[in-house]
Amino acid sequence: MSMDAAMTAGDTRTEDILRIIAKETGIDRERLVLEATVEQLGIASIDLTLAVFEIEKYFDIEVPLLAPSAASPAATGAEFNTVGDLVRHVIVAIDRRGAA
Amino acid sequence: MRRVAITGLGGIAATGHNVPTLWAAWQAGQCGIAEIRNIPTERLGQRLAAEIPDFSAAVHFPQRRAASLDRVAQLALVVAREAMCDVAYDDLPPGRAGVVFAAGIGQETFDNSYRELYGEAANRLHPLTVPRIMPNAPASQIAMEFGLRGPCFAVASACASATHAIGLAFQMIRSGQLDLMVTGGSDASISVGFMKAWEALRVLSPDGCRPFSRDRNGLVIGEGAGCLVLESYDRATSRGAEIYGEVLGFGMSADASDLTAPDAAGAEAAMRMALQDGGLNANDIGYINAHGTGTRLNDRTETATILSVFGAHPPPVSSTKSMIGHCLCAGGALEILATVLALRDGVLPPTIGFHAPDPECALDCIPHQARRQQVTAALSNSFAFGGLNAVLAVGRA
Repeated sequence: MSMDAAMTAGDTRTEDILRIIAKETGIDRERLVLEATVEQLGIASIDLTLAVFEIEKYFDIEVPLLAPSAASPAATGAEFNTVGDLVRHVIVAIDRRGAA
Repeated sequence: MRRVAITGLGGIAATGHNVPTLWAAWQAGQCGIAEIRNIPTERLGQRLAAEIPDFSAAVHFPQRRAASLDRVAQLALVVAREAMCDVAYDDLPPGRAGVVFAAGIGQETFDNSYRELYGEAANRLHPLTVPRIMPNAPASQIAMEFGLRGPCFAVASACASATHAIGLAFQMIRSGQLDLMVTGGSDASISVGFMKAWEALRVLSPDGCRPFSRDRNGLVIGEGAGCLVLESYDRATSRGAEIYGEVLGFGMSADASDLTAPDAAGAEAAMRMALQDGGLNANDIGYINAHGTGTRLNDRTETATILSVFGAHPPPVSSTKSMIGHCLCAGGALEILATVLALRDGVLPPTIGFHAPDPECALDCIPHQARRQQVTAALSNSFAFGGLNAVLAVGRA
């Protein structure tokens, strides 16, 4: 399955990820469209970190992301400006776990 | 130099969740020391503490906010809210109001996360572990709660932390640097790991806290928080604030000798400095709230210090720790609270647990029962491990 196909609405993993982000950040699920940037949504860095923590727990994975406040995304090789970027990183991590 | 008024009071400890209930309990000589209930005790050799019963974070904070706060910061916010409840500060320019608070390590978070990491082989810790543990969390959370943008920092001097914090806040207002400060201390250290560490020091009593009593045999750890709002006296009177008391002087010193044993010379220097700083003579002081831990050495040394400063007829002395245990970094804040209320109401709180006089503690320690006595000025002593001494002088409003 291609990444884009995996991220289309209705994919259960994407839905689970977005549900956790909504819960941890307090942002309405409807506003969490894949194109929306973290900045546009006004998500506090600590809330995003909490969301990633809960996502890792839920899927039993490790997502190699630094908090946006920690380093430039380019330096970490794990850029995520948008909700879609985050979902993509998580799905890669889930697939990597599955392949291991 | 400006005068400094106390315009807000907040407190929570084993015998009360707010200032009115705490003050009533202190006047009644109520004991908050009991068998530990909030943590597992199987591995503890000493099982006494002065825990706050029935404290529920959910009563005070929404779930998301509570999750970012260790118990130590929760207690700090609860007392800061009480102290600030009728303080007006919106008119102050940003930067003229701040926070100096005792450093408060998130012991519960510390203990739980290390248990998960080493005991349960957890691979990751909660992302809020650091913000909950950081010793400036109580100070930072208070600044955030009230939007105070002036100086904000935490003071670490073990059991003298809160007294040092209040003393610094006093100096900053007196000098004109600031107009309003939220100050005090919070401590919530009753965790298995921390209690084991105290056990190892061999200073915990197995059967109660009996300051100045001949049969005293150690201290009992407590938890709690105390908060004062300090304000320039002129500002407080011009806004018609209720003034609970006045901070008059502050003294501090270091023993620079033994790590844990107190030193009479160091303590005496701090007491004399507090008097001098406040323009007070020894005979102006009508009450001393002692450090009074209930260890053999502290009480004996503190007595020698008081006799040295005040001569053969020192004022009455009592230990609030006999009722709420040793609240460590918060101790000085709760004890200055007791001192201010004693001055305001003309009631000196007692030392409870007193069984028999000790010739080495020849003081009037107000045993068993509170005493009605008008007093115009008092001292509150805090002497910390590491040889750090801090003494505040306060006066009736």
